Amino acid sequence: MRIIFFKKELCISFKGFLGKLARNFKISFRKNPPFFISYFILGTLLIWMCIIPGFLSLENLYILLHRIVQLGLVSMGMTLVIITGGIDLSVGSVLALTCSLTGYFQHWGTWYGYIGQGSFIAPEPVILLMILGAGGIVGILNGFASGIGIPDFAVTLGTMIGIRGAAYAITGGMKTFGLGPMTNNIAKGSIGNVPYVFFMFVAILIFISVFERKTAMGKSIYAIGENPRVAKLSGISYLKTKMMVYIISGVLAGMAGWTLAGRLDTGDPKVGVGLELDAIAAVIIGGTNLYGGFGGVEYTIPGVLIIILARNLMALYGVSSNVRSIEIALLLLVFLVLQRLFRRK
Amino acid sequence: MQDHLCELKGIYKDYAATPALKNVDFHIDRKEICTLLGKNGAGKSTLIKIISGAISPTKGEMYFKGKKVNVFNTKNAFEQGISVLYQELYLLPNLTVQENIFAGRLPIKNGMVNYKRMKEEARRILESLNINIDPDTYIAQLSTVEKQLVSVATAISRKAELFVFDEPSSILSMKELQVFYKSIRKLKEMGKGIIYVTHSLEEIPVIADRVVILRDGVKVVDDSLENIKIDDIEVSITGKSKKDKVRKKEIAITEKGRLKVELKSICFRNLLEDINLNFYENLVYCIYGLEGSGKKILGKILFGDLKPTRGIIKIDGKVIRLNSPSDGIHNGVGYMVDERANEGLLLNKNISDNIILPCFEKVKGKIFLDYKKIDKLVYKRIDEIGIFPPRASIIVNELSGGNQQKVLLGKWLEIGFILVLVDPTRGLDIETNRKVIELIRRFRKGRVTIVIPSEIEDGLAMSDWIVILHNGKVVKNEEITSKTNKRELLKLAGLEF
Repeated sequence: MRIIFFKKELCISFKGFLGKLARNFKISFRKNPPFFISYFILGTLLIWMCIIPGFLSLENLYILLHRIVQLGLVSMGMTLVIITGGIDLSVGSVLALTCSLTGYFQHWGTWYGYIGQGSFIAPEPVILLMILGAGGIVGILNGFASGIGIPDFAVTLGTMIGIRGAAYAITGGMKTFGLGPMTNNIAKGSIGNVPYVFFMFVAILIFISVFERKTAMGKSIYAIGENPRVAKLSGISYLKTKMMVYIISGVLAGMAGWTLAGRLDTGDPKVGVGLELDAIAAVIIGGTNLYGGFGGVEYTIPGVLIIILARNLMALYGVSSNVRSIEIALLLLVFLVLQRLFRRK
Repeated sequence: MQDHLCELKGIYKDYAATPALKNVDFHIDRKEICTLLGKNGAGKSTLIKIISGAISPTKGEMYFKGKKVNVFNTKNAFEQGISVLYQELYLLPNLTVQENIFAGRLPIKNGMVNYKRMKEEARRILESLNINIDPDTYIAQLSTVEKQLVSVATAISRKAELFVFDEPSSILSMKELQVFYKSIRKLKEMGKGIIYVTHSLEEIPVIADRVVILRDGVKVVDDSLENIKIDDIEVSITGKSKKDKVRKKEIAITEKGRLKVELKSICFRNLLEDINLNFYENLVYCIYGLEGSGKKILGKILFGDLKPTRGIIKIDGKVIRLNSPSDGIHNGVGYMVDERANEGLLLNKNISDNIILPCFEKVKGKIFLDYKKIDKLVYKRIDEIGIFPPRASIIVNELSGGNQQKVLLGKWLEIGFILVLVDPTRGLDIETNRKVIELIRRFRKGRVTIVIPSEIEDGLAMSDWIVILHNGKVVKNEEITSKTNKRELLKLAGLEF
């Protein structure tokens, strides 16, 4: 008797638990359907990948995580910019600039092409700060221009071209090999095959997702995205908020550039072409509203994973890299159609 | 069936089990203007939506021009000749008047647009309506009333027979309304049927042939104007006898507080000239003037949204520079806008987010927002103001117009010791209107409240002091007493009778 009673109770509590879970799921689904759609597709991709030989190899995982960090950092900044109703096309160029500057500063004052450690600004933490500062300065430019009312698209299109040009001009279009020990150890090193930078990425992710929900600045970002006029009449500074998100975006892109330089052990001005478009795609797949006012960093992460995994999957199947972009386009199309079908009412 | 232009029989409409319309019969003839009255949520908009085909009734029949309507959709209704003119107009601002009138079916000759014919026809239609607009002007250059009239002309050119106007009086000024009425009467002479939805009782004797009143989804009055007393209408709308009406005098006795705000020789371009005003605490001020008198500009200057070209603003005896709305907010100025959807509220955010928007400083912890403080503050406001339903997590878009207005007021109560309220009773029904007036009276303690109404009755009902502006100058600045004469004030404001 006792056992049966116990079982019954267990049954009820289990049912209650499931019901609660289902209800929570339903509420969250109604809140942001694309988010759940993206999780569904992500799950399918993961299962698919596990049955392909090569995916679970240690080397592949290491590179995969590195790529996720790189695109993830850029996409997080992009998400915040898009929530304010803007768009940041300059992130790919900032990544290239900071990547090449990492090498350039390391060999500051030495002859191009000569590989040696002759930098005048040697301490590497200083180099890192300067690189993040460079990203921040681009952010200030973008933020100021869009804050005084120039369309974001036009502003960042300008900086996208200009900063890429600056990266080429500074390095003379050449790669710089051989970075310092700190960059090599931190950006390249890993625990098992989870790179250090991945932990850094997770920390930043948690920080920003708390920042956007729980602080006054975060709330202002959403307010400005939904209706800039209402926000202005409620005493929220448009310029300040725009500057803030663009600086965050620039610094995160700088960070991504630094990790890329560290992984390749090279400063290269040719990296990150089209990265901004991948980042925008990741944001859209996550379900952040392109017109602003709705979304969040945590929504974007599945988008990032999907893009990286889909590219990796193609690579493992041996599909030519010339064809891989088509697949991303198809994915984006599927998401947009699904978002349309399940859009919030 | 032949005698009515449009007839609805035994209409029921349920929204998710709550009935919006219960057994409503309604008809409209040619050459008739029928005013439709009722509170917010009485079922007016549901009825209009059924006529326009936007929704289909749960039960009941509709006949148009003697034929039964089987399919309810807007396109069908539009092609049949039913035209609904909402407050937001669907005109293309960067095209000319004639292009708007013929949008989608421009007259073509040899594969090119036949501008000559289009202009002729546009002019003919405009003249038939007594509208004096050049068909070549761009829509963006027109005033609100002209835009309304152009959309009427558009409907006529599409052979519309039944016109539904959705509260045009709430967006038009008194002068504009006179022009508007003329065109509506022309429409009537042309043999069209007109349904005119309104909140303002004063319009009824001017415009109506027949009055229909809905209350809680039931038709309570349907009679021609001669058989109705205007005083009874108000009772029929609210369902309460007149004794319930809150008289201003009962809550009026106000002690004048200390001097809070001084304006000294404020000028703004050529729109405001040498404004000198003093505002005392505990009093409610009404600043009235016609459109273009500069009353709204004065409000914006007080808030910091516009910078005066000359002059000094003193708050608590200190000279203050207001360069932006955030400066105004730091100095305790709250500014309640009239365009609540475009400028006042974040419609897709919840009540709580909207209320704390201007006062982040007050609910901030060390780094993060303090959610306990937020909840306390928001629920305090919800209780005080009586927002229904009283839940902070409700999206503002889902609230009724009256409740949205209350949220907008609640947003400013925490920080606003100088409240500038632009048209706080806009688009509200009689009962909600009264509630908002009561609220404003209740919260006047320790505050300077400056009301900038569009209609002087509302302003007089809630204020202790009246300031009248005419062409950017103060022409009257005195206390409101029982002797205050509305007609005289209107005359001073520049209205001609």
